[in-house]
Formats: sequence, structure tokens, C-alpha cells
Amino acid sequence: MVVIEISIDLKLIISFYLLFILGANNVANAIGTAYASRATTYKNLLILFSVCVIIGSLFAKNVGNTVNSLSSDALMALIISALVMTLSTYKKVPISLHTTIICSLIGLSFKSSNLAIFGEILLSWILSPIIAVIIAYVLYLAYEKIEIPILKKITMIKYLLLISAGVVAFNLGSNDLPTVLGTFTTSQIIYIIGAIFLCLGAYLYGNRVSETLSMITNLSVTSAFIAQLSGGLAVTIFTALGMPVSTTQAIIGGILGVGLTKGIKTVRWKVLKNIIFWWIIAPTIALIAGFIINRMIE
Amino acid sequence: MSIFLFERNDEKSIINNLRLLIHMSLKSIELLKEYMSCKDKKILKEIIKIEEEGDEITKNIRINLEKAFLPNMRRELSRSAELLDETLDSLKHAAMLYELLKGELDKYLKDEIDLVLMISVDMFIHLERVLDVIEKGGDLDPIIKEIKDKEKFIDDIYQNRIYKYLINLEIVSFWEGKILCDFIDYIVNISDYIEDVADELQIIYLHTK
Repeated sequence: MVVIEISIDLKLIISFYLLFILGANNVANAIGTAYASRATTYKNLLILFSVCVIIGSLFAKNVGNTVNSLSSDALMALIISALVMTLSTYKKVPISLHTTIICSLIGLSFKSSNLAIFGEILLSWILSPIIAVIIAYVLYLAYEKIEIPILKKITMIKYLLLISAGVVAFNLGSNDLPTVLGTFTTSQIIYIIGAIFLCLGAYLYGNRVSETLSMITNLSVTSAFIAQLSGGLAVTIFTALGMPVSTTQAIIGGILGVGLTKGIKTVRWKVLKNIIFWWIIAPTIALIAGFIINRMIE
Repeated sequence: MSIFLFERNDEKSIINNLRLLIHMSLKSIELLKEYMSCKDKKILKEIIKIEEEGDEITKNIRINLEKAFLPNMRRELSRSAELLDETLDSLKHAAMLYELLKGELDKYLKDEIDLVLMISVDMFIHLERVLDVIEKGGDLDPIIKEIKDKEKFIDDIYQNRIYKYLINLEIVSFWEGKILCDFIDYIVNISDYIEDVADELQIIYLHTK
């Protein structure tokens, strides 16, 4: 008889809390567009979301190992991340949990051996939106070239929306989840339990989705789904490489890619500059916080 | 529903209902022409009944839109159904006003109105071809251009032939003149509605680009 012992400690509680919040916040990223276009019922989308998150968690080892190799003081990294995430939510600034966790880990264990892997991760963060831009650009141009009746095109989009929702949910399980849990464990069982917490967050705070949906319905569904799918595919590539990257950043890259197909002037560079500014500022705050706490402890 | 053929009943039923509204308008035009020659009460009742059925179909389209098409297309489709319903309203009001006209319709005006109705029928046939393109594919631009040209022609008939004739027409009373003018307006407005529907459907076409 195999007995699995899970010691319930503060790290588990905080990380499951973070996953719960992650599920509540990111369920809209995954199924929002598909729901807005009524591709299928909300219940079916939640089932699709859960299945893909749990399947994703089975492929979480790669990213989990990378994050785990950085980890020294997981508890402190999780506390900093929870605080920064809470603060940014309060300030209504969209930031990535990935960058916050990784930077706080780096700050907490500032060693030269860590800097090499940090360099690789940083490169992934820069490359993932760029790859999403390229995928979205190519996909959107290909889509515009397709000569099929409107009615069939509409139906085709609805099926593709389900696929892109599945891809983004899979990324949540295979990339976001091990970014949180990889701080202190590489256990597959913990990853699966974490996936359940992530789904719970999605179920119990599903009403948050409606807020996001109201924004999505004003977008062109076609552009939104191509951006989402491109972002999702870019993250999947980096998951295979074991790199923790942000789906949000990749999706924004996807949106930029779609925008560029209509010409460089259609892109709102002011907005983009502001987003990139916060992408730099938030992890820097986490990095400095981690570094200061590390020095204080020493 | 087949995942391989990408066919969905929700969208198809909306398109079929729009087609049905077009066919009802064509039927209503035929009945109006008949009514203008015999003033048979039964025909008037039938025109009114078609308009009531049109309301029901328009309501169905709105309800079914909840789960059909993409969100950014629903406004245009709802508006298309509304405009087609307006054509049935116009035909009903035209028939009801015709009933109030005391004398026979002037021969010149009757010929011009017949011509306007004939062009409107042609526009409806083109509008159905727009639905064919949405359903089966093809080039929309030449059909839209055809509809716009025909609408312009009807405008031309109204401004340069009917209106110029009306201002010199002897009338019995103010109300007789008002009823006649309103009757003509209802008939001429049909072409505007058809053109507006074509524009709405073209926006849907652009949404998928």
C-alpha cells in the first residue's frame, strides 16, 4: 500500500490560495472569448477548462523543475508575490504572477549561478510576446486569405475558439501552476491538487468572468481569438522548453500581431508603452523586495 | 451539426427566417398590386395578416440571435430583421391608405407606382442573393451595387417624375392629397429599407474579414 503524506504547511496554504486567485482571474482569459461568442454553454466551457487545466498539470514538470532550481526561500517568495499581487489588484494594475514570483525568488537568492538561469527566463519573457506577434500576424493574414462562405467561417471560428480556450487552459495547468508550486515542490500529486484549487477558483468566482466578457463583446471576436490562440501557442512552445512565461504578455503580443496586419499606424503605441512599463516595474519591485529581505535575514 | 462541414442550425434558422421575411414581402407586394385593381377587403385582410406574421418571425430572429452568429454581428442581423419587418409595415399602411382613397388612382401615377413596385421586387430578389452569398459563398460587391443602382433609380422616379406630376395634380380636398402623398411615400420607402438591409448584411460580411 502506497501512503502519500502531504504535510499541510504555510507554503501549501499560500500557494493554493494563489492558485485559487489565479483560477478566478484567468478563467476569463481562457474561456472569455468562447463564451462571449456563445460557442457553447458556460457549463461546457468550465468542463473544458477543468479538463485542460488538469491535463496541463500532468505536463507541469518541465517548468516546475526550472522554478525549483531557483528556489531557496519559497515561503518568503510566495508571501512577497501574494502581497505584490494584492497591491497591484488594489491599484488596478494588471501584472503577471510569473514575473513577480520569479523576480522575488531571484532577489531572495542572489547568486551568480542563479543569474544564468534568470537570464534565460528573462530572454523567454522578451521572446514569448515577440513569437506571439509573429504567430498572430501569420495566422491573421492566412485567415483573411481563406475563401469560404461567411456562415461556415462563423461556425469555424466558434470551433477554433474552443480550441484556443483549451490551449490557454492547458497553459494555466502546465506553466502558471508549476510557477507557483515549483517554488517548493516538483511533486506531481501536489500539482494535480493545485490544478483542482485552480479550477475551484474558476468555479466559485466565475461571476468575475462576466465583467471581462462585457469588454470582450466589444472586440472583434475574430481578432480576439487569433490573439488568444497565438499567445496560447507561444506559451505552449516555452512550456515545452521548461520556461515560465506569462500568458497575458503573450496574448498582448498576439493582439499587437493582429494590429500590425492592419498597418503600423493602427497600433496604439502609447497604451503599449504603458503596459511594457508595468511589465518592467512590477517584477523589479518584487526583485528589490526579495533582495532587501534577503539582506535583512542575512 | 457536423464538425467537419461546419454547419450549424442556429445560424441557418436565422438566415431562413430572413428569407421568409423577403418572401412575405414579395407576396405582400403581389397582393397590394391586386388590391389596387379591385379593392377587395379579403386581400387587405391578407396583407394585414402577413404583417402580423412578420412581427412574430422578427421576434423569433431576435430570440435565436442569443445563441447564433458572433456577438459583433448580432446588432446588424437584428437590424436587418427589423428593416424587413418595416417593409411589411409599409405595405400594410399603403394598402390601408389606398382603401381611404375615394376616387380611382390617376393612370400616370398608377403606372409609375407599378414600376416602383416592379423594381422593388427585383431588389428583393437581389437581397435574397446576398443571403445566398452569406450561406454558400461568392462575390457580394456586384449584388450590393445592383441594389444601390435600383434604389437610386426609384429615387429618381420619385423626385423627377412622381413629385413633379403631383404638384400639378388637381385634388378634391387636403386629406385626399395627404392620403395620396403618404400612400406613395410608403411604397417608395420600401426600396430604402431594402438598401439598408443590404448595407447591414455587407457589414456582417466585413466582420468576417
